[in-house]
Amino acid sequence: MRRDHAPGFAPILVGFILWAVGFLALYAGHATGCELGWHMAPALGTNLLRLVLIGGAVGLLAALLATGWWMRRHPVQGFVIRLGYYALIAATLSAVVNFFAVFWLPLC
Amino acid sequence: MSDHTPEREADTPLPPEDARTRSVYAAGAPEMAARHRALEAIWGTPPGIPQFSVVNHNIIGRRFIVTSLAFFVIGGLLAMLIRVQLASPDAAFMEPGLYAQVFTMHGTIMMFLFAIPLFEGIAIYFLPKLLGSRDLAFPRLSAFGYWCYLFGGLMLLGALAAGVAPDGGWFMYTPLSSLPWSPGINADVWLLGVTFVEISAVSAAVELLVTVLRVRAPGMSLDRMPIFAWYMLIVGGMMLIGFPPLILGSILLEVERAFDLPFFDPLRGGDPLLWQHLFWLFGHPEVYIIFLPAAGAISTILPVFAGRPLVGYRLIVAAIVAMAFLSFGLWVHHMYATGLPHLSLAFFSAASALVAVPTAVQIFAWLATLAHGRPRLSIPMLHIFGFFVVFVAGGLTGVMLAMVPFDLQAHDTHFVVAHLHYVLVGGFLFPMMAAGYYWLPHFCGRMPEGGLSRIAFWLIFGGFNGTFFMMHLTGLLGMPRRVAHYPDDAGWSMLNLLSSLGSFVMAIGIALVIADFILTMRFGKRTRPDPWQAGTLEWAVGRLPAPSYNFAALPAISVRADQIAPQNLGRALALGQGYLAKARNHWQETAGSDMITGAFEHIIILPRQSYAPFFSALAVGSFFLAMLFKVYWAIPLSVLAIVATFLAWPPTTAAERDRGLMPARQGLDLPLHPEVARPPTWWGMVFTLAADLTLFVSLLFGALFLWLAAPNWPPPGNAMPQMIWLALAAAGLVVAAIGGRVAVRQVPRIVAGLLICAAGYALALGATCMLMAGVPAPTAHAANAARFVVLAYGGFHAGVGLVFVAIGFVRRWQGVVSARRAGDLRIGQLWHDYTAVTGIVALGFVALFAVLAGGGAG
Repeated sequence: MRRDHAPGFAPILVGFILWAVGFLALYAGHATGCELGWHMAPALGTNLLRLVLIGGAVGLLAALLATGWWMRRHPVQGFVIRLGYYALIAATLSAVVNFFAVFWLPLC
Repeated sequence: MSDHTPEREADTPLPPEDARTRSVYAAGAPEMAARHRALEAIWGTPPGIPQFSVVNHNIIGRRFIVTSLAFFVIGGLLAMLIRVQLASPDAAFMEPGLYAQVFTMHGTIMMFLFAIPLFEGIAIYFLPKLLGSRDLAFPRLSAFGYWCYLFGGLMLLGALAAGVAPDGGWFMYTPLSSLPWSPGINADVWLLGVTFVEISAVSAAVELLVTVLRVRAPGMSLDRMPIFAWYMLIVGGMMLIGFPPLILGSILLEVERAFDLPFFDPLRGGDPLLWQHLFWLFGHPEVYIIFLPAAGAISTILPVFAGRPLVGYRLIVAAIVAMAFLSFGLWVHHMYATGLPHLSLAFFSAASALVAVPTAVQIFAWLATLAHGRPRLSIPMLHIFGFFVVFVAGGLTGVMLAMVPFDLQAHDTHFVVAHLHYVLVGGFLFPMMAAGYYWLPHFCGRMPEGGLSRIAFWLIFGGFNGTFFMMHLTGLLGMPRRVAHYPDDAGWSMLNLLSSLGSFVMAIGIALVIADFILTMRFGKRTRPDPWQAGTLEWAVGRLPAPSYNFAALPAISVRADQIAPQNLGRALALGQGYLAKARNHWQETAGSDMITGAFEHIIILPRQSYAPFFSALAVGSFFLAMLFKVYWAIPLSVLAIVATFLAWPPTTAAERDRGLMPARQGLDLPLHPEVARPPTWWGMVFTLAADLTLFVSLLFGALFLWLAAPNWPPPGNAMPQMIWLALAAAGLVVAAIGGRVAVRQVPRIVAGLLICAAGYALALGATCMLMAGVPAPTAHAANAARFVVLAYGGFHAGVGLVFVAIGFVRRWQGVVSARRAGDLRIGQLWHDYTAVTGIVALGFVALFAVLAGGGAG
């Protein structure tokens, strides 16, 4: 009996799963920070909430870029991998557009 | 089933390149007819009472389609009542209460009883054919889903007839739908009826996912799948994640209304905004769940009439993956006016604008396909033209509404009504009419003629724009939605009158389409099996209407499955030149394939006709009715009936003994699905648990949201749960999971394993009951109610785990379990593992939540 190769879809999904996790973390982190008053706690020339959100956004971008780098280092050819690249690029650009506002918009 | 005999097919004119095949076909007619009779005897369903036992996807698909169209007509008639009311200011046609019922039911019917079931029906009917399969992965589940849909829909219609239909808008916002403001059963009808119908949607999602991934023709790798299958795969995933938040919201609101657990009552720590979050977590992806199947139909139909393959197949797949994810990041754009911080709004506004990009990728791919081909402006293409115009306009107003400042101006006005109708009618109705004309010959073997259908199209197109373009203007002039009357001096009167006239023109067009369909089915010219010269497998069924088994033999796919020659392939398959060509043992056989490569891995034996899905749906219906009419004493009886009817689903055929490898065609022997490690049912359980997990995470999100955002926190008189019961419950769940593993891995010790499992669950259930009893007054505060419900979630899963243990014992007693045939036990193991993990998380959450709610000091 052959075991299924379940991770076969991973390259297609990984980019947007990272985006989705980042989205939820930043949205939930923002709501929590506002409620708990992190935006009023000074930290490194700004406030704690903005620092957390910038850290989250940069971390998400780094994770997406690292995934792209890892995929390029393992250049397995094929439909799924090519599709994965497209989806990863789309997820990375989406993350930039989605979250760049954490640098400048009023927080709470 | 069909009077379209092989002899008649042989008489139809054929292209010159088919002459050789034609002679082979004529020579093989007797053999083909014999094969047809043998397969029809296995797959067909007799008329009369046995029709209640139908599980065949051809019939279930048609039932979904016809039922959804009946609901569409009813929803359309309600729309006309709305337009009559709004045709003049201060009209006396309906009083506001009745008007509220009418517009609520219009939206509810169109979204839940028409759009979703229609594409489900199309997918149920066509997916197996497009994938080169004989049926879906779980035919009984499709039948069960259909009955749930029908009964749930009738429940809603019954309420409409009785004058107690839902009246709180199709999104049922709290506090309007909470008990103090909606004391009748109207809101309960919506919550219970829609949840009943959503069982059908979730079961369809599981069905679609497993079918696309595992039940494809041999050789159909991912990159050879027809594009429609990609769309339905992604839609199935979206439904799996999108519907559970709505189901959870409906459960919580119904529990509040029935048992006074105050999740949405701000006076007791609840928050009406929780409903909006849960609803729109479903509601926005829902728009794309409706649009994507329609887009899949366009991607299938348009290349046929452009005369060239779809441009950008791979880019389109990437675009729909992107769309699927992005659509889950938009839900708050329905909540811009609720006072959220700017930064939160920015996240959702950006995602709302971003989602236009993958949509545009598809639009441009379709335009490129047309530009590179030689388009034929046939009837389906006319409707696709309508789609382009209307949907692009709706998409552009969508980008306008995605911008927060504009949305705040247009919020809750008729501009939003216009936008959503441009998106949904443009993005769903026009493509579905194109699909209807395109695939009509498949259902009846006759071709639409054209004259009436063109008139009908222009009436619909003109009438639609006449109706809804005006609403942009009335909306911009400030006309609010959901009001039965407006003042004469507001400047909206003429626009509303024009809008109403347009709606009647559109209705005439729709009536003509229906008449055209009926006339075509009755008097249309008979056609050959591939009337449009398409390249997809559904036209390779050999005869129209399609036989109950689809293909006499299963094809081997070596090119992308939208570039085949259906006529030649269809004849070859009808002659038995393919896999699983020989009828044997009264088995309904189809191919089980690897999800990536499409390699033929095992033979799936599908269940035959069964009354169990019908009775299971009736039992589930009895539960919802007992809840609706507050006959709570009957609920345990309903639960027993549900369990009993599900246990009566007959065991999969051919599992009485190990059979080893069986011939799939000359020189290829493969195992049967009960003898492989991960049969389709295993994957079905994986996806079911994924939906379950979404519900669980939504529940935890909801509780944390209340802690964070709701007023009147912390709760008075909070108390920590007792550690001993937490520990015992967790230990019981771990023991149950271990028992489940023992039963699977050491089948000779199955009884010991199942007993361990049962003991674990008994311990966990007992401890959970103690914990639930220890929650202080769940009706007093949302914090207590949330803890109570999280514990109930864990307890419910432990109870179902016991049912799986019982199934294991029954299977052991029936002698249908062996080391090779341990599928039921493996499915049970998945449930036990899931219950252990989520149960322990739930217990930890309950303890943490007590601390967060201030119980740590108590």
